[in-house]
Amino acid sequence: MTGGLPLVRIRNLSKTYRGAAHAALSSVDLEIPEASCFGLLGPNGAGKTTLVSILCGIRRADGGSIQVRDGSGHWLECGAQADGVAALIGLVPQELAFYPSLSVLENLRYFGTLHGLRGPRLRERTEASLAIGRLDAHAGQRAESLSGGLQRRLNLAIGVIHAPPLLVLDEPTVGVDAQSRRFVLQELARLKASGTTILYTSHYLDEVEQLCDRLAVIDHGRVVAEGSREDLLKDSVVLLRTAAMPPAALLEQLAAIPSVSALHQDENNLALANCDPAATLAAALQAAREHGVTLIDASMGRRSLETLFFQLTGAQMREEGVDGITA
Amino acid sequence: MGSLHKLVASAAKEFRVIARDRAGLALLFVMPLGFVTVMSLALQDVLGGKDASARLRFSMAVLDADTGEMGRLIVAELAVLDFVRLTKPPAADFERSSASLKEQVRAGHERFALIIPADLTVRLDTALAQGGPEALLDVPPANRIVLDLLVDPALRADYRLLVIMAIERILLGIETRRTMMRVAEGGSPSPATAASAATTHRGGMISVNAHAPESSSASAAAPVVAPTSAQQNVPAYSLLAIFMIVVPLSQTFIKERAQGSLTRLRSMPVPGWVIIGGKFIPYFMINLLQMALCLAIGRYVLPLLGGAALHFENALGGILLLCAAASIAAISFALMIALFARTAEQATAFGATAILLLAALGGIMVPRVLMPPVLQKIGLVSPLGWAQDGFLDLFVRGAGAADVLGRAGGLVAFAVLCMALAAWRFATLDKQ
Repeated sequence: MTGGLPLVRIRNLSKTYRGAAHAALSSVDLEIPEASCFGLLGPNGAGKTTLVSILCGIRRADGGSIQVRDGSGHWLECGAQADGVAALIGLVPQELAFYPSLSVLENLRYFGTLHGLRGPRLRERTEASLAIGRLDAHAGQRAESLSGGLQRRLNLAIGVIHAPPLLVLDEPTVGVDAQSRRFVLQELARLKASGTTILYTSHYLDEVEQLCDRLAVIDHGRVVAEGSREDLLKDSVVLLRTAAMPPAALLEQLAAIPSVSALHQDENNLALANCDPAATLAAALQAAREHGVTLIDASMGRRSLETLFFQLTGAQMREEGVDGITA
Repeated sequence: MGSLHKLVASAAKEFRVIARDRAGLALLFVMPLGFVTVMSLALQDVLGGKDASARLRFSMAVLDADTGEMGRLIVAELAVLDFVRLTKPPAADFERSSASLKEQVRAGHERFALIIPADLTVRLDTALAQGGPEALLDVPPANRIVLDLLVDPALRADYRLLVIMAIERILLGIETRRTMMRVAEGGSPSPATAASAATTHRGGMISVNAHAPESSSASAAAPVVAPTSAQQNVPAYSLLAIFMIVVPLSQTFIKERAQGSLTRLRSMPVPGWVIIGGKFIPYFMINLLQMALCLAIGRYVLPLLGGAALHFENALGGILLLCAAASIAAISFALMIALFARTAEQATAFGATAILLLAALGGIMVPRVLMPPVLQKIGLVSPLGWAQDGFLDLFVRGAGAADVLGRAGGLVAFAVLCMALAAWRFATLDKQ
């Protein structure tokens, strides 16, 4: 974990959309350390997009607050059109948020100007952003004629045009080929190394596990887990694969093993989070024998983020909620 | 200063986006220029077709001050004409009614106003009693009883003539019957003399003085000319083009919303008025350019193609005022549509349909005078109709910028209403 001071402070944040039966956010408390990469996870409709929208001034909270610390150490309150905070944040939305008929350079200059950049500073930041997106060779090309991967890179480059201390990325690798995805992740790692704080939401758990040093899992508008990646994934896991659907009695017996802290089932696949892998594996094999269940595979190792995620949020499909930030 | 810089950048960006949208540009410029040229030439003769009068009904206010029966007879005969719709004078008092009628006709609310003087019957009977039927032969103009017929200057000359001739026929009939009656009562001259007097009535006792009402405005002193097809169609289709920006503008806005650009903009230190203003300025300038090109077509191209030229040299101030007001109204309407529509398809379908409907009701495609009275009244709600009436005031009725301030104000009020609804909608998006 990075031990920096918090750059973002979220206190008791609440939001309920008009006509909604449940709150999108309910008493959320979080802190995002400076120069860290903070992963925000949750199923569709969990509330993460709402949180990002409020942070970026696109929506207003019903209660609570989000504050961002500026360069001189003052806490600035987030809210719609709060210019001071807006200058500290760079948003990279899930959508390709630029003008397709403008060239790469025109897009960067336009958004740079709206961030108050002018003259040499605008030129300098435009060049830096082109370099971050490795778009120098495509500067004069219209955005609509770029490949999907290049468009994603332009989306990222626009987000960093004003060198924000906080970069907010909402599903930045959706629909991107493997090479471009790798490139985006490498660039984000570089930005983090250079001191940029990153708030990252994604459905790709492997990306989050690779990139983020702190995580929060949000579900039904509440934070259900939060901490450093090491702390959250320190438990071990025993993985079992059965030949047929495991009977309920077996599941009950596995969950009752003293070393098991959580059991997650995905059809024939069982994951047992635990604090003693050897003892857990032995007990699990014994239980399978007792119930006459054939095991195809059994292994033990460190708990993955995916296991943790499903353990916290369940495996069943969710109805679509607020998907993507829309103005 | 910072926001102004951002506004200029936003407007410049919008110009670039528009300039690179060829289909949008075609809609904005080729469509109106084509319409202005084709419709002005096509309707030049069609509106004057011989069957047109069968469909026409002109509103006519009759102020009958005559104390005798002549006035009542004239009104009764006018009432049976199928192309005249009689309306009541606005006030009982003659002077006030007379003044009010002039304003109503000048403004185009009434097409005709006939003023029958108080002593019509008395003077006719006196002339007959003193001079007999011969008194009706070759009456010097100074001795004639003149009925004032106020005519809307925006009305086509052939329509005017149709009504004037009908009134003259009515007067001829009534005067003849009166003469015959007096002859039958008195018996002094021979019936042949009376008949001769009647048939030569064109120089008779009662005559009609048809004229446009003089304007109360000094700037309207320009001579009144009959409207031409160009005077109807050039402003009409320019206005249609101005309001048709609802399609490209709302689409741009919705695309920005769908693509996430608007989300990004809202997360940036940019005031809402800069985002809106950045769109407003380019489209406002495009609207002015549309109008300028359409006027140029009317002034210089139509005569080359055998059409009537549009003369507007004395009305530039009023044109600019109306064009600016219409543009503000159109852009505000487009922004409102963009915020209420969920998809670009919705915006196009609803926006274009609404504009075409308002254009039809407002007399853009078909002059309102040709519509049934009910539609004419419904058409009063159309902002395109307000603007078109304003241009007819300028081109046909000789009005000046001051005279069309009211119509321009109406358009701006419409714009304010649309912007208020748009702002409300924008605010509610946050709660969804």
